[in-house]
Amino acid sequence: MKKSLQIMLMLIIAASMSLYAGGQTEMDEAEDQGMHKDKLVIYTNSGSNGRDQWITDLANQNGFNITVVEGGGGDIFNRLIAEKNSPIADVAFGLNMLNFAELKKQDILMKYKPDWASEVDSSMKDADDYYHGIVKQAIVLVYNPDVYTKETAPKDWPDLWQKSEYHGQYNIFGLGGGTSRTVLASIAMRYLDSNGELGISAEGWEEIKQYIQNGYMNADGEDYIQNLVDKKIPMTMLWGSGVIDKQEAYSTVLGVMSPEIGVPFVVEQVGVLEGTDSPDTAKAFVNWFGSSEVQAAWAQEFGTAPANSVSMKSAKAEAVELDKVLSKAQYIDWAFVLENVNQWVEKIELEFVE
Amino acid sequence: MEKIKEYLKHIKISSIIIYTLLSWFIIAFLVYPNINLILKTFIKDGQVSLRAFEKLFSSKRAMMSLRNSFVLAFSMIITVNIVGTFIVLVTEYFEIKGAKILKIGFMSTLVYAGIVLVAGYQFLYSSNGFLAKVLSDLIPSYNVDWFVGYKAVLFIMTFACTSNHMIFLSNAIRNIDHGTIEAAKNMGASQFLILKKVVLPVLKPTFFSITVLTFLTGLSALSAPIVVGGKSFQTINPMILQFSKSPVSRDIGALMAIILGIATLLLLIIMNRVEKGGNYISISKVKTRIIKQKINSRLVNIIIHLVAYLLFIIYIAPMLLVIVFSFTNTIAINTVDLSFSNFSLSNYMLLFTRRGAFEPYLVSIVYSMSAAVIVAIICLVASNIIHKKEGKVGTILEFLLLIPWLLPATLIAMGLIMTYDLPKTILFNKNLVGSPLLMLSAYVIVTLPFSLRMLKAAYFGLDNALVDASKSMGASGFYTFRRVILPILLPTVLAVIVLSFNKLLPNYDLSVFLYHPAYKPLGIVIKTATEQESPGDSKAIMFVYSVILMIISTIAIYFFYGRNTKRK
Repeated sequence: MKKSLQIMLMLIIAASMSLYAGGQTEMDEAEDQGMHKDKLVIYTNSGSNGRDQWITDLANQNGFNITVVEGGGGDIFNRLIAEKNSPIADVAFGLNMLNFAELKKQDILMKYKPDWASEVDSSMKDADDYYHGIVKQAIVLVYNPDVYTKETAPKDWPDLWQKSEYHGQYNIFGLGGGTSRTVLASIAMRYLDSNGELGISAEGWEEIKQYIQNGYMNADGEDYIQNLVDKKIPMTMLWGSGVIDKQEAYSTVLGVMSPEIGVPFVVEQVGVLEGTDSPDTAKAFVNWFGSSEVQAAWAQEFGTAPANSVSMKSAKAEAVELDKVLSKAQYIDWAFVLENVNQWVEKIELEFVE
Repeated sequence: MEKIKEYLKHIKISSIIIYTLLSWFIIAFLVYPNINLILKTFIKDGQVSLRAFEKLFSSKRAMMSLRNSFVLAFSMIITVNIVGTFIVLVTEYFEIKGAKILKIGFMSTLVYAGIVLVAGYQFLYSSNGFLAKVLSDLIPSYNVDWFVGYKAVLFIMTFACTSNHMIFLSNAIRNIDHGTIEAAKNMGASQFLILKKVVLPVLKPTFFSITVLTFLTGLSALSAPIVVGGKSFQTINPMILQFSKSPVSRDIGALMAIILGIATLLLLIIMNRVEKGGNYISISKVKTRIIKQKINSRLVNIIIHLVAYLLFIIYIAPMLLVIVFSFTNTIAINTVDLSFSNFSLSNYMLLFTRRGAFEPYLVSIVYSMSAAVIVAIICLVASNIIHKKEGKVGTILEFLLLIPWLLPATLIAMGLIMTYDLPKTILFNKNLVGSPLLMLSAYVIVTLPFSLRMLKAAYFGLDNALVDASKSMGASGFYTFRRVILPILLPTVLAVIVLSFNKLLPNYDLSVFLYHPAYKPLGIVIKTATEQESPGDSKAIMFVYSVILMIISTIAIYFFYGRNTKRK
């Protein structure tokens, strides 16, 4: 009995020491190579499936020594806010404009204009240069083409609840996530009323209530694409690169709705954090990471659509194709959405969700 | 003054040190950060905000979910105790053929839990699952849609939450003195009477503790209601998780969690009252090892055998399916398709050939094991004090250590960051944020209540006469603790360590906020790889990870627990 405890204790100590030693050698290596001696800590919500390793390797080859901290989008965002007084990260990327706008508001970001800023459309970056777009995701409704043709499919989001044939046939993601919030913003933008509750007219709230109550709210872990393929719930909201990914993974074809009013875009951003110990290296990293070559390589590897117009040209063929279909962006007043979206979600969760 | 002086004379330096350390730990890690967070959550612009109450109580959905959580928790107290006691009796008390194999099946819940366990059950019972496919042909009247709502949730939770019975109730049964059973037999007591009057009374403290934990598990159920609850049976914890992550709704999330925590504490107080009244030590001073009882009635024997094996199948089948399907891909999983062509090792290969694939395992094992051992030490010391001091000191200490029950993990993590992001005197002016110790302290905090509860119950089985004997022979307090108390408690201590370890190993909720950039834990890798947003075969990868976790947990159980109980 005691022996096994002792062995375990020894193992723990040995392992901790090796971890410590591991950290040390990494540091030493860093000093040997490259022009940037400072180690950078990068926070992101798009590090899964080897993306963190991919960017770490590429950065290494280009003289940066980075460590990626990853997690779910909401979690990384909350962590950044909580660590405000004692920041660990030097750079953050992958969070959307809503998140970055909030970080800017809370003085967590540092102003910096990278060389490639002019290659990104002004609607996809901060006017004051606190953050800049790297990856754009169109937020769309997709449907099973065996169930709806181009003619019978809904033309715009309000069709979903205003026409009874679509009731119960569309999937809504959890309202905590960026995709679902963007769809909500797209709907809310049509019913602005500065005298209404939380900036939305009474009519608007009724529409939102119908939208929520006539939709299908998919459970965590439930496979909505399988539901779509099985014709159980033949429509769902989805993000741009997801359209390409899922078609491949489920060997199926998805119909994509392209509303007259335009498609809402979520744009993933990159920014330098105020309070970084190595502002020069952090800025150099952002300048390198957001450049058209690196973004083009990222897009090729992971099927995303770059916000950088130069690198968009060398993205995957499917991404370029989709980009053409969804060329028109819906205007969304992100500052207004930022001000209110958390309260909207709270109201919907407490009053409308059944 | 004089009185205090007199009192101080009796206190030894060693106990002063222990009390100081314990008080420091409680104030620095349990009271200060959590109270700080609660204050920051409910005080807005210098005013106490009670809007959370209003919002919560006027929401039909929230009240319904809250009600469902309580319905589930109370139902589980009954069902889990029945099933749990039954499986322990057939593996430890009655003579059942193949008890060893049965035991492995019943212990399976120790190594897999959460969303994957639920997925396993869904495979079997859902409308397009295994059973539906097989049975709907054989029995036309078989209702393929039964597995949704309250009964489905309760079904899963009943069989998923018997781990505490398998470990702690089994330990308690092994401590029963066989002599008393023999004596009762000689006096002509029937088997049922012996069970009722001799065996079960000794197990009471363990039952009380397990009941409190089961209640809490029911209240905070997450995966099962989300997946199979349907519209009719959603519970409160998913809302708590979501609200505690939103900056504006955090107060509502905290309020819901506090309501659940207070309900659990109320049940605990009731249980403590009942517990204090009784004597739970089997009488003999020289205990003889319990011998398994043969069931006298032939009919009863057959029925019990049948039920035991039926339960075995219920326990083992979902897990086997998860293991089998971990070798396939997402489409095969979704369509429950077992065609041979779907099988491959590619997902396993993918996870281990990637560079840097092994570090997260090492990080999580080291963190979880260190935390589990630290918690066990703290709880041993604390429950020793609680056991000795019957009065207020003990009660206050116990409730202080249960504070983590009042808040969801996300908020505990945030409380730590917000409190220790600047050097504070209580931490010797060290900045905890950015230190590898931050996540360790959080791991320790969240595992405390569970460990304390189980160790405290074990203390009730301790015969004070042994302690007194040791002391009267001149042994010091520490010597008595080391040579007399600890050996008796060791099986429970080891069980607590291994269960805490298994629970912490895949932790995500705390880790994502607190982990040190150089030490990425396993939970982060699993969560980000299995989210539907991430490209790749996310569902199949989740299965692969759970099989790997099962293997690590099984090794941990064998290493820490299995061997020791056999050797005794």
